[in-house]
Amino acid sequence: MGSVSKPAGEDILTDRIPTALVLGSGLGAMLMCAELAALRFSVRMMELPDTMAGDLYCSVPEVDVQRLRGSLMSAMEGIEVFRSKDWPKIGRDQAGFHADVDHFRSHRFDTLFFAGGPGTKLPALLRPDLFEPYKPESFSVDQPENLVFLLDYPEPTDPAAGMSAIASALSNAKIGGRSSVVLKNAPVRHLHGETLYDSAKTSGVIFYRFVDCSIELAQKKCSETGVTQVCVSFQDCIEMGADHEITCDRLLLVTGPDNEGITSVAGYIPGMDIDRNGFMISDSAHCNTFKSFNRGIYCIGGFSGTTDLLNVISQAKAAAAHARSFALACHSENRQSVLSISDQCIRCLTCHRICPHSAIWVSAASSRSQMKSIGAACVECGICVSECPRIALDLRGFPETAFSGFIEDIGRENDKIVVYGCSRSAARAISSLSLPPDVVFFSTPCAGSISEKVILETINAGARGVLIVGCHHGNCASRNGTDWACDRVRSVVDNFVAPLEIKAPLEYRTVAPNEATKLERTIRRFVEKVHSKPDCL
Amino acid sequence: MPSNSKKSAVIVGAGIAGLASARLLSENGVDVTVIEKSSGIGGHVANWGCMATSECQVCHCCSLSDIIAALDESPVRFMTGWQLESINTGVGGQLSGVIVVENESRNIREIPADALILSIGFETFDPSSKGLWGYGVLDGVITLAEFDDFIREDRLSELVPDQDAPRIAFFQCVGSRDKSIGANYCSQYCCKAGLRSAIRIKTDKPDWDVSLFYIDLQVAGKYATTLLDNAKDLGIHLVQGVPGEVFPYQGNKLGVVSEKNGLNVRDQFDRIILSVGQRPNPTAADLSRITGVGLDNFGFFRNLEGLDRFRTSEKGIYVAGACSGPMDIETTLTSAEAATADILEDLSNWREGS
Repeated sequence: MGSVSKPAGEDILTDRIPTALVLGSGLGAMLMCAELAALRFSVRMMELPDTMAGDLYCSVPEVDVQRLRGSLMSAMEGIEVFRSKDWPKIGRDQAGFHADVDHFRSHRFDTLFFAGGPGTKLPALLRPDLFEPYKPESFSVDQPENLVFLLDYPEPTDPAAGMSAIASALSNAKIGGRSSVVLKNAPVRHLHGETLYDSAKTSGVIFYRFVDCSIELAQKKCSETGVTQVCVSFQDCIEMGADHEITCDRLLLVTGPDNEGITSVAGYIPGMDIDRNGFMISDSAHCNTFKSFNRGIYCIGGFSGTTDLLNVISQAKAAAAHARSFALACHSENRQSVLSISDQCIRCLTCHRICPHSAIWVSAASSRSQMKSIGAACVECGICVSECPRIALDLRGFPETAFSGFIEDIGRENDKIVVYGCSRSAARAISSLSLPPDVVFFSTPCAGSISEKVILETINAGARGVLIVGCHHGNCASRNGTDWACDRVRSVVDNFVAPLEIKAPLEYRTVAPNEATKLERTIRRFVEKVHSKPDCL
Repeated sequence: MPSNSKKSAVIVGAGIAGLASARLLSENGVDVTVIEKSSGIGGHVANWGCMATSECQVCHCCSLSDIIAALDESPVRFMTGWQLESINTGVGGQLSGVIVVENESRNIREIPADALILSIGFETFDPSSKGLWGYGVLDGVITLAEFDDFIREDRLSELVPDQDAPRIAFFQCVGSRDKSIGANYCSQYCCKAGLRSAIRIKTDKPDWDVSLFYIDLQVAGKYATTLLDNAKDLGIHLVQGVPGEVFPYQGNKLGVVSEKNGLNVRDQFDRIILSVGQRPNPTAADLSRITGVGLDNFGFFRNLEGLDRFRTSEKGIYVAGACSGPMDIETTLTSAEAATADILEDLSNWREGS
């Protein structure tokens, strides 16, 4: 957000072609390159070592994956692809991203894309000789076979992979093979998923449901042919009502993207983190799953947790359109001065370390290094300003004087109850409310911009209570700004309010922009609490 | 690169899909007008509350507020209370503009358009059209959207006023995966929405008994497994098999018969929440006639295949969001922004070609 569309005739990209680096391999990376090229980006692709994506995606009724691969191959002509044994060193400065490969080549890019994924997940608890992993893209049956597809074991299978397995089971059944699908939940999460499931059932694919992990696998020699078979036995099979056993020639295990593999990949990327499911962290609650907290970096496909071909096509297109608007915004606006760094700076690197958007870099110089703000990456959350021990940082759009001016006003008007709130959540929710007369609301860029110093000064100035309202945990547009606010309130309560027996209540609450009613109740309760303390009158 | 700054796009429908397209097109220098039949913007999502417990459950409802805030600072024009009347085409069948009409005054206006996005969304299934669940007859049977009002208005305690520890049941797949009503497809949003709602209740009211009856849980996407784990940890009863009917039981209770270990079990609840599916917007038929974009067997707009899945048979006309098939908010946002990329590509190509 924050980027505003340009007036007519100011499309800066007319005279400067934006550049992109796509890191990854497989279909996702090819899709990303093709979409960027379609939007006139100058694209380079680097195949990542350690990744083996390319077996994740499967045909769906609207898209044939082999034909798609073919058309992408021709779109890839003219796109420079380079391979390296080593991971590139990726960094960011005021001029954009740079990737250093093989220690001597340096390339610069406006935007950076992670596309692909490190293959499918394989559970460690299964004996590897009993099953083979199901690879949707490469799987095919030429002659009738006796197959069992095992889904939801031990964790729920991704529905896209599951539907592909049903399609494979169906094609085996159609040529006279025996297909069984063993699952907990039939995957149908597609407009034509139910139709596929129905036609598999009517074409002779047998579906077995099991509960929990009541499955056992064993090897068995067929008494007639002497061929080794895999035997799947259920203690509790819903369809058959009791214990049941099936044997097959091949057991195909159907899973989802490998989130543990992603963890090792993300280690190479500065400022990239892993979310609570092991996928690359993205600003998903606000901007969808392909945008990261680092403006200009996008992440699609298996890295972001999707194996759905339709979804990855949409992600690639959407990420390309977002990248184009990002390139437009950072080349047309003078964003380099949104954050000022004064000569009070002692280069303690606090801001560099805590910035959730990787928007501060160290310009190394032989004489004296300097901290620099990267305007294109900065979203002006103010977290760095609030933690700077030297008060060397200041936001142009929200200077420190805004806080000090407000606190002075609080000092002049006695007995006010102060509510600090994030401009994204609390300020939007509060706009439809009428506040009690003694409550003053002050909108801040992010709840994380309110420093302990601001909290203490507000109490000192005579506020009867201070309430800080941030976004819900996991919903902060600056990743962890709301957690900063939470920790600071706790710290001020523990170190000052409680030991000094300060009467003014200090609290932290969370709210979403569409929770006006909840915010009203939160404020009302806080006001009641303040009014119930006669001592502080 | 040719400039898109003089290109213009018209978007039909100001739900979250239309608004997401409008924002991204505008950020890319396209002149955008949004036409909305009703008097307000935001569509279905505007009526949904936040599902966060102590942590965000990634329902994406608040992204509507982010998009509207960005649009407030953009030059995008909104025409609420207007409808699409007809389209104009120029040389080679290329779209050149649209005629819109105001609902009340019947005023007519022509707007130049190089691209037209259809983003009219869906209609929720009306469970009273199929009598089995007692919706509209039994007081305690409500839809997921009606339940959501209690969350949005912060009055969950009033859901069951006379009970300290009521029993709540969610019925999944109501109006989805149902051949008898022509909806043999998965509505895609309801498993996660049902799970989030159940988690929200159980977090706020740990004493309440919450069950979720499903046919097959569709856990897709990066946060789906977390939802499932949270639901299990909180003690929500996940029961495979949705009871066929609801009947009055002991005064104001609701009786159901469910299957357990192959046996029929009688159970009773205080509230039954129906996770209603997505049906095609009935307006799609009119727009199909006006624009020439066909409808599929279900009544959704027919899009092209493969990489062209946001384009239609008609040059310059695109589809975004749930009017081309059922979607959750996350997928809707991605599709709306993907349609934007295709428009940007086509606008620059067309300019060079002409």
